[in-house]
Amino acid sequence: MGFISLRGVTKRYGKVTAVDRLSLEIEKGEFHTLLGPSGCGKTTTLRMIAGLEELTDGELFINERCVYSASKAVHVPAPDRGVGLIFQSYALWPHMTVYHNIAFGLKERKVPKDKIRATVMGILEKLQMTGYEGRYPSELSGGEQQRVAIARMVVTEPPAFLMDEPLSNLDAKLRMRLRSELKRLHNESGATTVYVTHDQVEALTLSNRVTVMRLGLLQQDASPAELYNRPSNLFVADFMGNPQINRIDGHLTGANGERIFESGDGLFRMPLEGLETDVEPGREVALVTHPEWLETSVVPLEGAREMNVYTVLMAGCETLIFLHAEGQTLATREQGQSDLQPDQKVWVRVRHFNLYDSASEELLSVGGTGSSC
Amino acid sequence: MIREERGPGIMLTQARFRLQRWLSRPEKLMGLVLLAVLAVLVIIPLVQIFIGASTFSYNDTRLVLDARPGAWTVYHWHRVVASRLSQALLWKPLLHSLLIALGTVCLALPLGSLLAWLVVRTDLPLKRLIGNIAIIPYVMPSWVMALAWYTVFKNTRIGGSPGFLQAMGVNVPNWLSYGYVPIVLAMTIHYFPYAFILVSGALASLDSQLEDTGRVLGASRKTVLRKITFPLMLPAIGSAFVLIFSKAVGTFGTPAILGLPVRYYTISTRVYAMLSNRVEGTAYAMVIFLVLISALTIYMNAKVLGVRKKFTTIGGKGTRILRTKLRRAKAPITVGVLVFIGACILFPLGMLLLQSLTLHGDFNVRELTLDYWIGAPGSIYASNAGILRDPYVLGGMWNTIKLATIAAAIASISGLFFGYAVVKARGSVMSRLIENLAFTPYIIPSIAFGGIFLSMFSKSWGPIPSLYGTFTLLVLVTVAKRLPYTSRTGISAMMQIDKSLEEAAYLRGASWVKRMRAIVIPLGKSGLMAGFILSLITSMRMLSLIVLLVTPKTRVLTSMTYRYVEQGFTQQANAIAVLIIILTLTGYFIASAMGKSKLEHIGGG
Amino acid sequence: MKRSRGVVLVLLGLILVMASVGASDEALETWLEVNQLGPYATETQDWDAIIAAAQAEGEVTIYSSSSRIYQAADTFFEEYGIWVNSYDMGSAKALDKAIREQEAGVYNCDVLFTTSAELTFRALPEGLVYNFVPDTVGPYIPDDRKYPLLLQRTSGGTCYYNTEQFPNGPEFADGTPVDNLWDLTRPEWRGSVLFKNPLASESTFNYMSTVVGHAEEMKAAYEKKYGELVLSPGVPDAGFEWLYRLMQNDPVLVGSSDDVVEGIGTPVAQGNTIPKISSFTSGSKIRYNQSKGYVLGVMTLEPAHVILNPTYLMIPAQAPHPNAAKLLIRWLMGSAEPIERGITEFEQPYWEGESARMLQGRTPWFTASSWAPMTGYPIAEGCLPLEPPTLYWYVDEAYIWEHQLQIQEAFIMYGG
Repeated sequence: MGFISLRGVTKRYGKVTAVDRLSLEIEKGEFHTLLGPSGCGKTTTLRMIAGLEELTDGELFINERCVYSASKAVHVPAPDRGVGLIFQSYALWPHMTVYHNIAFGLKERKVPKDKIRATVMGILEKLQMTGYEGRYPSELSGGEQQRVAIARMVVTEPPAFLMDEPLSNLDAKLRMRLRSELKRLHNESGATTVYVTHDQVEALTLSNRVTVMRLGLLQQDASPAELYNRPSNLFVADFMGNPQINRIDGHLTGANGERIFESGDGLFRMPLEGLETDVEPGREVALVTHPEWLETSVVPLEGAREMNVYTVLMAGCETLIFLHAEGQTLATREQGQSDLQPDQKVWVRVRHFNLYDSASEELLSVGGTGSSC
Repeated sequence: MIREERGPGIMLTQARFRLQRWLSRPEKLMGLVLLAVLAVLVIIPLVQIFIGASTFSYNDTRLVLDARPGAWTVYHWHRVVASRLSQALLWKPLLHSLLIALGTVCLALPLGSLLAWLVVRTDLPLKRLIGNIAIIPYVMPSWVMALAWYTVFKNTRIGGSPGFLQAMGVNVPNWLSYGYVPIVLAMTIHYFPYAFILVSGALASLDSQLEDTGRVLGASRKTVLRKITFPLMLPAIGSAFVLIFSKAVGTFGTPAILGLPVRYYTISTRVYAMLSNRVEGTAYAMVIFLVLISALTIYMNAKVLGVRKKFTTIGGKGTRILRTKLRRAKAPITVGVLVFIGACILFPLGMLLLQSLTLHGDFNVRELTLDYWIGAPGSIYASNAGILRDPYVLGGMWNTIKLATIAAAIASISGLFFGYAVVKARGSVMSRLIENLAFTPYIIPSIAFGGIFLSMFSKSWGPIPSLYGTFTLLVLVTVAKRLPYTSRTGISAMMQIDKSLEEAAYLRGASWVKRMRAIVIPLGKSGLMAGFILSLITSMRMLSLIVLLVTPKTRVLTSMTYRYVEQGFTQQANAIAVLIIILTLTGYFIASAMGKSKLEHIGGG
Repeated sequence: MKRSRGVVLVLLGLILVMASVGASDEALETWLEVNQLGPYATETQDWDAIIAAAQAEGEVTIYSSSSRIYQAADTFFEEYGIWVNSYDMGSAKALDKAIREQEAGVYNCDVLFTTSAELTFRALPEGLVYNFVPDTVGPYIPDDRKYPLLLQRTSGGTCYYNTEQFPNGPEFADGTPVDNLWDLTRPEWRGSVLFKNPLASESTFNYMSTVVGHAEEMKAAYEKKYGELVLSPGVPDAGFEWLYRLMQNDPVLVGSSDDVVEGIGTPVAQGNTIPKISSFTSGSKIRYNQSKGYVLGVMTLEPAHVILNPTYLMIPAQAPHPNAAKLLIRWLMGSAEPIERGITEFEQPYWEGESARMLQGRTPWFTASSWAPMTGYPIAEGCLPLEPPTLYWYVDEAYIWEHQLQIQEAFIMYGG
């Protein structure tokens, strides 16, 4: 059993189902991210774990103890679940100083005064915020507020941390810095961490494991690498796109073990090499690749398709190139800077791909000549 | 995997568990408590009044031969709507009430809107001052204007010494002395600040870029006003119309004072007469008519303008307001505005003060006396001492302050609880129900509301004890009538407090009481304080709400003034009125000094 | 749990409240027995005991229809050291508040001092109020003036005019403003007849109803002066016809009898130039001719120019200060000394010396148009003897009780 275990967890608000029969095992010490677009039920799930929302159905275990079960009439109130939570808004009490914000939880536990003082000051020091204890939250910058929120969470040393999009209110630079701080916090404390975000890069960089949700339903529960390389369905694939995936709709032909992909418009025709599992011909499929899974050349290549350069977006260390031909746009990525010019002719070849069933949108197979990354 | 067991016993346990869990949420539990409170203060009174209008009372047995007290009947409805009495009892007074409300709105709204435009949208100087003093006529009791009118425009119709104008040789016609015109004018002076508050709020949030775009596209100033500004302001103006209308339609004091000499009755004065003669069934049927009219106007407003309400959200924070330059008209307009507002305040105050100082109430300045204020016992005819030495007046003043303080404290704190229950459970049926029910007292005119409470608490009814003649009843009716305002103040205060602030404390093991004490109440404090002061002011000046409910022991200053007016003790009445004005203005100045008052929640009474 | 404790407290409160409501019947019976009222009433009283108990009670609350109660209260305090909470509320409100408090089980009022048919015909039979006849004056009061309720005084309602506007007075046939009640309905007095809103005054309502009730006499009076009376459509008789015509004549309704006499009695020199007359208004207001310098005159009218209205004293059920209430009633009735000593006239001024000593709490009402119920009691200077009863009508409470709502309806329907 995982440290946090969700079994058939369901949450309904009236007729709307926010979370639908979600079962999940979050292992001890894991940094586990709940990922998905807004409204997918990730925050609701986190709040149910925290004890701020009650389950409509299902059971919830933390540290091998049942903390909620309607059928067994078990309910452990939030404060007794041994979890700490950081809110998206930080929820620092504006009428209390930094010190009192952090000390609140200890005071509620009737910790002796001098011990509270020592603990709070220790944490402030660790977060390099000594001297800030007398300030009010409104006198702090966004990053400082975030640190106070972290301090407030860790001060009671809960075995599990819950974080609800804690970085979404910060600017890009600060976000990067705090990401590493969070990761370090996790490493040092060893606390099981459940992290909610809609940012797939954040999920990939921070987590040991990622759960993608959509409309309350679990889509995929996997390691970051697997999630990136083998999205279990088109939704996850699309969501993991950075900035976007390439999707070519078509069908399969071929015989005797040879499988050929033909795009719907008939312009893209390629033999599928290295298929992990065989897919029978005649299927309507979607061929999906990340931009870096494409190969481009200014001279014709075998099995490549001719396209025109649409735009070239240079981002310093890498360059994103959008290609266009006959109603189909593809994105490709090059390391460093590119010499390509708009309207220039290029040849494109798929090095690696995932194949999805057009109807069920489920992953059928993966394949390609090169490695996926 | 745990297998789910099924069976009746398990089901019952589960059901009990669910109920227990539901009840364990403080906002739900509080919602239930508030619903119970609302049931007692709003629903049951309305049901009671309907029952009262549809059953025979003891008194009816004297007029209707086969009437049995308590038996169901349409007698009162028939009597009010379709008998030979209904013309005099309902239809004419109803028409008068509607005409008064309409007249008042039609004068107060343009006046208030114009002032709002001048203050918000032009480079008028002394904006803060004007904005502050413009509210004062609304802070003063509405019937004060009626009293003042009387002193000036009284003509020969009621004999005696002439009024101020008549004494100066001006022949004042009846229509200017009594009845419709003075009622509307007196009420306009009372309500234009309310329109000002409502409209200026909307004007301030209207982004003038929208208007600028029109100008850039080549429209004239007039066209912009007509095609852009006005349509955008329409929802705000529409709701201001409705809010003023439904208040004015049930006003009691002013029509009672200015209408009687020409027998100009309104529904509210009729209801008062019926109730004080204990002709209750008929009175209640009429009350229901009044409530229906207010409800109908609000419904119509929501129907006609409701869809467009979204407009009001345009702009919001950080809107740019372009101020029209008044140029050469600036000085005369400033002076005009100041003189007008000054007159609206000083004229009634001055008149009442002056008359309270004259021996015969006839403005004979050679016979000035302080006897009505500080005279020793026996120095005034048929009365006790001057009001400041009269134990009855002082007792009434004490009651007034006590009532206002207690009611305001309860109202503002309960407002916070209402806000908590509504905001925390936002989106749930219960939240909506509480919010709407809490607004309901707004559409019940004060005199009717007082009448309802009179019937409701005159006798014990089920578990509800009879409270007539107790101070508690006055507090209760005041708190109930203030609900629409205090609940709104509470809701907007709670909206400011992110729910995660409380959850963060909950996660750290703070109990609900601790959370309220340490987090919610400290954060809602400024809203609480504003609500308290505003309730304090309105509770001190209300008359129609409690005039039916006060008993000698629970008398308050306003009821005493009204009694003195009825008795013809003009100077005492005026002196007490001045006292009330001083009390309310003191409260108002404290409130504006604190600077946080949300004046749109000031309401009436 | 903390929550459930709150719920229990609320429930407990409700139960207590309900219990207290149920207990009131028993409490009333005890109250009556202890205080010898209602069925336990006695012919004579032990005044030493009552005075001692009253002084222990320390205060007493009275709801009065007359503002003069304040003066009587002062003398009562001087005499016994018992504070009187006097509330002058007008006749209608005194009754309304007292009855409502009774129905609500709120016991604030110790003495009710007002007029209304409802007292005799409803409040008393329903046990909301109780009669108390002090033995000091009881033997000198005829039964019909002390049972079922004790009459404190009979006061006259009269119609006023301004003696400066009509210097010749009403006794000169040609110079009088009017000499017949029907004159009030004539076009020349359109918009000029003042009276108190009868829906806000029990006494004025009684005056009105009494005129309406004397339909035969009204018919005769009309025909004596104007010939045959033709009833307006829908009007049942001459009494209602008078009310109808009066209301059609644009009368001026005011809130109080003080307003009426101010409107009429203010001297011409103070700007009161337009002639006004009144319908029936408290006759005692003639005293303002002295105190306020008014120039009121009383009109002599056919078929009646004085309507006699009773004002009663009684103790509401479960009054909190019953002994002080009894003592106050005794004080307001005055002593029987003038009758016992055969005094026919008091020395002026009445509020001093021997007169005040004998009149006791009756002093403020020892005026014109006011008669004590005791047989052989003196009357004030300027007060006409009640016998023989020419041009006097007594308020007929039985008639009013029966027709009150009908007359109310008529008043409203006719434009009031």
